[in-house]
Amino acid sequence: MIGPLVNSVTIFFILYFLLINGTYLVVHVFGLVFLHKSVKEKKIRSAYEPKASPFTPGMAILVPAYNEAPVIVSSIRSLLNLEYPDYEVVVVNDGSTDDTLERLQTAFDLEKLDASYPVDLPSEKVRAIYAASEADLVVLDKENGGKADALNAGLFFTDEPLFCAVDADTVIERGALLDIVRPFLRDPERMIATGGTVRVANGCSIQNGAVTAVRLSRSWLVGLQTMEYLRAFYAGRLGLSRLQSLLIISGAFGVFRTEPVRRIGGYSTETITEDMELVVRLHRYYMESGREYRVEFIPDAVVWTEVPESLDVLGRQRGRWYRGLLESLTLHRDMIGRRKYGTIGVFALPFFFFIEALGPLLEGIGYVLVPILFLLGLINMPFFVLFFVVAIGLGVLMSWLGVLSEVVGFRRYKRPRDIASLLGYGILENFLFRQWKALVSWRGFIQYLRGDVSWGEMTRVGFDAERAEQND
Amino acid sequence: MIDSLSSAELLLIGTIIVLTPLIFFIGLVTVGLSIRKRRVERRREDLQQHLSQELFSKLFSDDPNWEKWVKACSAQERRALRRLLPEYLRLIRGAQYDQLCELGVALDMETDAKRKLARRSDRFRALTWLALLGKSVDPARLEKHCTDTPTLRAAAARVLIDSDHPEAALQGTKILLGDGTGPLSAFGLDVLHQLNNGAENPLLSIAADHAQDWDRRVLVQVLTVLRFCHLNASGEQLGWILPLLEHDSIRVRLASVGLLKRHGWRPTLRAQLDIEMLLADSDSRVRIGTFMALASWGDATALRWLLWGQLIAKTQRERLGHSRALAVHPQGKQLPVSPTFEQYDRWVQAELSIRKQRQRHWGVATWT
Repeated sequence: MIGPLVNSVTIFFILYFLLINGTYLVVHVFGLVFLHKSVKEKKIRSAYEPKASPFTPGMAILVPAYNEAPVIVSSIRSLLNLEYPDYEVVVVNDGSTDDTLERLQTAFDLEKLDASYPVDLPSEKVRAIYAASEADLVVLDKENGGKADALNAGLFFTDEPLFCAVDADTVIERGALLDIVRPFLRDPERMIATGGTVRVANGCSIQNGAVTAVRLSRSWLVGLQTMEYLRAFYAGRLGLSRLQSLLIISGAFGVFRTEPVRRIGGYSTETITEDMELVVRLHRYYMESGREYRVEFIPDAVVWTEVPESLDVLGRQRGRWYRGLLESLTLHRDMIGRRKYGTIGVFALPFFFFIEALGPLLEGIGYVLVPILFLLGLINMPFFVLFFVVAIGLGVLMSWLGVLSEVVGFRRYKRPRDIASLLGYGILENFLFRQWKALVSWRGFIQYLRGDVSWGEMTRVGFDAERAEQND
Repeated sequence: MIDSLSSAELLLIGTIIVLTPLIFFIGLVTVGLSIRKRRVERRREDLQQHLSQELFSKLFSDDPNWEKWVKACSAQERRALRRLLPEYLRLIRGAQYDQLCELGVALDMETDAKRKLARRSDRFRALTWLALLGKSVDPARLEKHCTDTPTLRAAAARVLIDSDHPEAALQGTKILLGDGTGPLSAFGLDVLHQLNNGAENPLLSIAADHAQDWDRRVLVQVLTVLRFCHLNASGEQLGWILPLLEHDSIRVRLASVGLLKRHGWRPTLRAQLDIEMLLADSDSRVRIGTFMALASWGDATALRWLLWGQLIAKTQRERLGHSRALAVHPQGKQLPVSPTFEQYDRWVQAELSIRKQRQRHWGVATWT
């Protein structure tokens, strides 16, 4: 009886494995094709000058800030120096307990507006509003309510037709706003949201809020994350965007039309990954109303952000992301598999459910089950070894396709030795790191079942902590 | 089960046989491309730096003699110059711009571009070169070869902006609009604006004749463009807008009110406007748009309507819009501020004292 059961389980795992990797491969291939198209599009610019055109949409850059004192001034300085004709920066100080607000007041000579904003904002109470007379900068000082709450304060405050949500510790490349707004310029009637690429700032040289030299960090943990980000953005999101299946626009860098987001009530304060939940809800809204719309990913619109340098902090971050994924899928579970919601219902949501959500859990079970079955003599040794080799091989293939995308696309890592290192991380990832991630997913799953909504703490070190190597 | 497992093992072995060389191939290609691109990039950067220095020293000299210089350049250098020149043409204006256009002619960019108009794959680049060099092309030729896609139409119409053809503005406008079913890109809107923002406004008469036939998204875009054009038109010539103020689309009504804000001051047009109807519109954005239109007309009649507007502004955003309109109206301060509006007025005054009232209306109009 045990024998047939083991066989059934084995077959199930093989089929699931084929499903996961087959789907990833399709998404990756679409990603590579779209990348080629994006590179071509960028090379042949029209005679249109968005910087000088009155038809380039105004934008509000929303910066939710909670205890960001080490980075806030340099971050806002860099935001005020972006290449974009018409934008304002709205910092929402979300009840910081450090001197985030004081540093902003001093650095930008902020004046307190002698009146309260007369329109109710769907957020925790706004205590005061400050503005700079010499820059397009407004600071909303409010009581703590969380990131989503802070974003809602900003998006219901601004009058701009588009808003860009960024993290306070993000460094935006100077031309990134013009890049990320390109789909809106191409298709102003349908585009409702675009997402950019988040790259790893650790190891890079950053001066005056701009990345001056791009280098791979010496930390192996950061190196692994760098390789992951390349795979996730250049293969994953590009491919999903091409397949009209983009469900995630990174909270670190995304542009949305203000009015539809307000119409659906803004960000949800009930989820811990408000970025994904918002995008799914936008899809739902437009599908249910039958209106044409588009959501796209722009690979060459780049921001840089600091990633965790310790397993502890990384584990908390990934656990939160996983919980957020489960929350969003649960909230919108009635869309899964429904033709009414087009590609989102029929492909994207099932993809995220079966592969991104269930996949790590099943993988984790496999890591436990297989050695046990092996020790009990219930597993065929040659099969086990072959399966293990194929699993690693496919993992390496996906990762190396991500690195290849970096080389053929919008390269930032120009040194061949950085590329070789990234390929190395693509192999290394399969030994203990993937297994650790599966464990983190399981922990996240249990926390989700328990209703844990904590964020965990991300320790900010500021961008000057690591210096790049000298030029080779 | 042993058989099936054996088959599974065979399948896995087969997969490994395929995967292994594939992985090695991708790895080699990745590293190889990285090395090659780095080398090419360094050579290109050195070449571009060298050419840029030479170009700028000639640009500011008395006689650049581009022809001689281009003849002395290698094929690689000429290709590099063709890549560099469009970027400088976008940035530089004045006498130096004209000099750079001559360099473009010396590089045969104009000749090549005109030849490539008939070639599908190169049309867009060709149109861009012609537009940046300010070279004109017969509108009939553009219409024949360059109207397949909205992007090509915008690029073709852009070429006509600098044309001295007597019907350039009209032909360019017609190329852009096509059959009125496809909305324009921001590039298309920009070109449409430039073609109609001078002494001639062919878009106005085209809109008067065809507005009812167009896709409503195109209609909204046309109304927005006209709003920001200098129009040599009487109130009667704008009369076709009046029915649009009762259109079933909120966006059309809003765009129409926006156009009135800029052009509705004309007495013969204002005499026909039903302001009460606009202030009673079912959508608050149209009501707010009407407040701003009244503010921009700036006379006593408009001020009386704004006083009426105080009574009908019910939502917080409407009241804020009303207070902003009063701040813009030249005599707005004469109106007493009712207790209901005190907080809105305080906010608007505070905002104005620190933040310059940002002229967002371009972006808002197009993107609402």
